[in-house]
Amino acid sequence: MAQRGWAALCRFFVVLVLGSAGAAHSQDIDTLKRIADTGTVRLGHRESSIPFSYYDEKRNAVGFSHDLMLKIVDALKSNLGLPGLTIKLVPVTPQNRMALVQNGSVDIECASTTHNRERARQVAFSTSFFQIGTRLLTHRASGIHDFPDLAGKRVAVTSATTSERLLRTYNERSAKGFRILVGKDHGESFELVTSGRADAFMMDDALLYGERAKVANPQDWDVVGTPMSSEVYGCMMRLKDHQLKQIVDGALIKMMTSGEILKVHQKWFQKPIPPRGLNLAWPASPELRALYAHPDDQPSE
Amino acid sequence: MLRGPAIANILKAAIGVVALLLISAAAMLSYHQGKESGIRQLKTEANHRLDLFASAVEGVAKPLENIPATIQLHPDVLEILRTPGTLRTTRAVNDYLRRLNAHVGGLAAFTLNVRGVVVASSNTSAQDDSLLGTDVSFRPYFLDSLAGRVGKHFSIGIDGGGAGYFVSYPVRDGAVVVGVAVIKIGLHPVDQLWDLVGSPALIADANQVVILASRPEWRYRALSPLSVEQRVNLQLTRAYSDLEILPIQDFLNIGADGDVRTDGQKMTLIRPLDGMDWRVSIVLDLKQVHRTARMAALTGGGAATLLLLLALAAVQWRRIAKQRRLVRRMLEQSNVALEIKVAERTHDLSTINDQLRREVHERNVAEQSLRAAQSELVQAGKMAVLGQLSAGITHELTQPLGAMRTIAGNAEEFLLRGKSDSAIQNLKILGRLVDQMGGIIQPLKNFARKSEPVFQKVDLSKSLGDALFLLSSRIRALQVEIRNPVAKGEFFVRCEQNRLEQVLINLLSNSLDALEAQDSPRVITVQAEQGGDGPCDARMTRISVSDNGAGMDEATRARLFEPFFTTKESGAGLGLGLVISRDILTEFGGTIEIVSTQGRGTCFRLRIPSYEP
Repeated sequence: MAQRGWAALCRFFVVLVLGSAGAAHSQDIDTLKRIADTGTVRLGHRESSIPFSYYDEKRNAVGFSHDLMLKIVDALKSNLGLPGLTIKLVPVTPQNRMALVQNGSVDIECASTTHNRERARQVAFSTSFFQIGTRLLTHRASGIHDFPDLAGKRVAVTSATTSERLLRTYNERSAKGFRILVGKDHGESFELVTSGRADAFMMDDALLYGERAKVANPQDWDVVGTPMSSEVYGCMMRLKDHQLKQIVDGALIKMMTSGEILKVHQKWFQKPIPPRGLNLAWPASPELRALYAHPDDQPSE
Repeated sequence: MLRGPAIANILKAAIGVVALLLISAAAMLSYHQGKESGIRQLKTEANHRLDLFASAVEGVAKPLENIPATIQLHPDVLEILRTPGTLRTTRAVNDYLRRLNAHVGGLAAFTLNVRGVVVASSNTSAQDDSLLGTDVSFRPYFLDSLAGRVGKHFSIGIDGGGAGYFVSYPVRDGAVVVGVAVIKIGLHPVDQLWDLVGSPALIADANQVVILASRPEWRYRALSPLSVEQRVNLQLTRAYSDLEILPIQDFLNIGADGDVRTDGQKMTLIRPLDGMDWRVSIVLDLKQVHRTARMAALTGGGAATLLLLLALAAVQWRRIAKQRRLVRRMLEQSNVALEIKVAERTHDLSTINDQLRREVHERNVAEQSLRAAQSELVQAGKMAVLGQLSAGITHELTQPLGAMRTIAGNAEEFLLRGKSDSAIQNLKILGRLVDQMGGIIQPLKNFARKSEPVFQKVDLSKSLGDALFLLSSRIRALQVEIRNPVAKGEFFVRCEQNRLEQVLINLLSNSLDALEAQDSPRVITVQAEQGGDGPCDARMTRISVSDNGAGMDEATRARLFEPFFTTKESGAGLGLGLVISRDILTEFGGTIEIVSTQGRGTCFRLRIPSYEP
């Protein structure tokens, strides 16, 4: 009797869930309309992508990318004629960031997400707003100066990043036989190095500089190695969300061509930043200036 | 330069080679067909077993697949996903999940928040994906469901958890995905199903890695060597924990699309499992198929050999039949040729025959005309003789006629004088004289009579007498002594009186002619005798007429029987006498020959068949 009751219940629920899933699918991607309807935009941000998108001491989302995203929201407000647009901040992790954009939990994510071809199949990317090289952060005394020096070492990397794939591929290809330790986010990965559980941390150079800014004596830590890759960051949106992308791109390009973006850059790379007020002292490279001079939305190779 | 036999040998060898090739081709074909049909049969059977197995495997996993969709319906589930749950609600959800899981028979049922951390689970103690508080944010099933899709992946549980089939559904709060509900389904019941397949079998997941196998050593082996990218992907998802995935041994490598692979000894059959991204592969041993195929090859080769032998026999039979036909045709042809030749010859013969017949006829006609001519000739000859004789006969008749005039004149006188006695006397004498004249004319009349040759009994002496009488005036004139001893009734010959007379007159005339220039004594001797030496003359009467004249030279004698040959002056004779005589004699079966010696006279020898009653 009980068994039959369960079965009936299951069938009922299955029908219900499948029905709602189908409905969810069909409502699809007119994000602008939904934003206008709800008066809310959902912004994805990171918790420890210094200096792009992270929590300051008061657990407020801040950072270079976050500033850009807020500028984009301004453009969105004026575009939609919604000055009172509510911003809902959604923290994302390296693992779930794309899934959350895909499932509609996040409308725009501007943080430190590399735009590459593989990801471009799952989400849409805006005009590129930053450029990085993937390198190693290591203690001055580690004896590691470049990737080949990693043989036999322990290397930390953040889960679900382009660096994790690059590092694992390098390890498989070169048969260096180093051990890979995975952190859930950059803070955790850097923690692995500072705690001595790992000898180096591979990540985007800007992020490595950002992590280094957290320690008491940053001069003990070096960012080394020939970049394993050169990548660009973009804001993530849902695929085929053309109208939103148009507004986002327009806002970014406007900042770039007006030179406004360099002021934001200065704020985060050449001035003291939270949490410890350290100055990354990393002026815009000629490549970055070239990118701002000629904006494009092409993925990294 | 090749000679005939060499070419024939080469041809034979070539035919042999071709036959061998045909036989081996048939054997190969049979082998292939046998193999094909064997494989087909094997495949059919294997596919049946595979279907059975696949539905059994699906029966293990499918009934539980929809369970996660029901988890979000528990109100506490959404609550602990919205806000960090209190201990009480977490316990309540854990309890719910434990009961649900126990009821459906899964390995675990659990709920993840959007960061991929287990916030509620049926499992609160054992290391696994499902253990409360575990971070499974790297698992594809989590990411799939967080993105709003149903996740289905095989994985080995984290940190020593057992292997299982994870099926996940997004948990929605309104339109927003707030978490993921997962069930982990145990696949150990599949290990009891291998007997259904009957052959070595395995199940590989979407990574082409074996997750279940009838042989334990195949488990967690890659069906094809993994690329660096694939290895990295496996590391990223940790689907097989930290196991190193090595290529499979003793198994045919398979491609992604093909459903059959064979290396000759074994065959792999592949079948996808419905809605699971898995494939079942079974390995079939082809030993039995090969054995059957070899038998088929043997049979095929044997059949081909038999057929070839039959064909050879047929060819031979045809050749013999052809030869037979050829011989028959040749025979028929020669027959026809022969018949044509025979017909030609027959025609020739009948032509000749006709000609001969015509010639015979002509000859008969000629003979008749000749005979007629001969008769005429004989008559002419007679007339000629008569002409010659007429002078003598006239002389013979002149005398009695003169006497009769005188006597008749006397009788007239006597009657005038009345001397009737004397007149009667004279009339009597007249009568005698008339009889005498009749006696003279009678033989002449007989001789002149034209007669056809008739065989009759002829008295030689009578014919001799008549002949001598007719010639009597010349005999007397020439004062020839006739020596004729043939007595009346002494010799009878089978002949005709008249013709024999003619012959004898001719011969006697010739003798008389010969004696004209001869001084006295002039003698003609006639001799006759019956029979003679040898069987040839036994029935013959031989007669010889010889004179004692000058005889004749050889040249004259040789031409004696030529027609119109005569030694006499022109007008004295036709030159036909001897010719006619010989013809007459020949007609009666007799002969004539002449013996003549210069200065010794001439002798005619006649042979006439004797008359035999």
